[in-house]
Amino acid sequence: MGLTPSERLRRKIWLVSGPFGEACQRVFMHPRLAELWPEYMITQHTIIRSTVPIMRAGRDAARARGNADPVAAGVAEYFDVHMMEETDHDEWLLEDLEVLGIPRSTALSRVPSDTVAALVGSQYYWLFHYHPVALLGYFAFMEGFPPKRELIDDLIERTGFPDAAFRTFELHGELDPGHQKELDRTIDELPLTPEQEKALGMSALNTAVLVTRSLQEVAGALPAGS
Amino acid sequence: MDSDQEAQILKLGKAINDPAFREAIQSDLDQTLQRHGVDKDRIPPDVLAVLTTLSADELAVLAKVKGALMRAGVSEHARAEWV
Repeated sequence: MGLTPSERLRRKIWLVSGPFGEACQRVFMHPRLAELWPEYMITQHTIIRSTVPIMRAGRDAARARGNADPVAAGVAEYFDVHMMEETDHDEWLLEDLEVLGIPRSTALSRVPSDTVAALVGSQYYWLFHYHPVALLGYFAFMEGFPPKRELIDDLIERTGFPDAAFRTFELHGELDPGHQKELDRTIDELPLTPEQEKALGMSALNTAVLVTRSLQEVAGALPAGS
Repeated sequence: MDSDQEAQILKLGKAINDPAFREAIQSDLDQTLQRHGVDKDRIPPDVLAVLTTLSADELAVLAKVKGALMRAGVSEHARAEWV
């Protein structure tokens, strides 16, 4: 029996998960983790704060295509539900930073990197100028690697930070597996054309490239040895 | 993974950088690999299976992820335990 579109997409993501995992390790195993962690959180905030707005843009662009486009109708329905689930996650992250004594103004005033702009900006391009279905590839990657409990415990131990500083990270560990299943189901229910499936793959792979680069930039922000 | 298998995956990774390879592999995987000196039998089946599902444009994006094929080739143990 052949693979479903979501299975094909997951296999493509699997192919790039190695370098992504290595970049995660560079951050999470950094010898100066406690100093680096706020930098990681601030970078994550520059990404996460775009989640609901881009889902809304995806939904609206999909709706604008009208009922004649069944793929767009499915995409609109998916984002309509899921943007509610993602609401306030950026706020939680700011609160986590405040637990560490870092004011929200520090995160909000930071100019997002060109890598993050490319990561999120490319999705706006595809959703407005190709088809909003491409955005599902972005979320397939972004929600495809929920942090494990052991990792969170290890981070708490090695940073010495309170559990409350990892609330957003913990919640993603709990929520993302469910989101992933729902997303896969949605993808498999859409009557995708071969081109649209290709757009999903390009979107997910492009996300892998840029998220990996972003993590490498975070890891490189602090020399390991000094 | 032995050194020969590693060499074959490296060759494949290098070949993917070539747009002509990315186009050609769509129509004839075996011949294209052979022309680029890649021994198909030494490429892990998982990696080959995914490759055949990728379009030329997707392969172009994949080419930017340095080491992706190598990490996939060495399978689970090389992938971070953290994710």
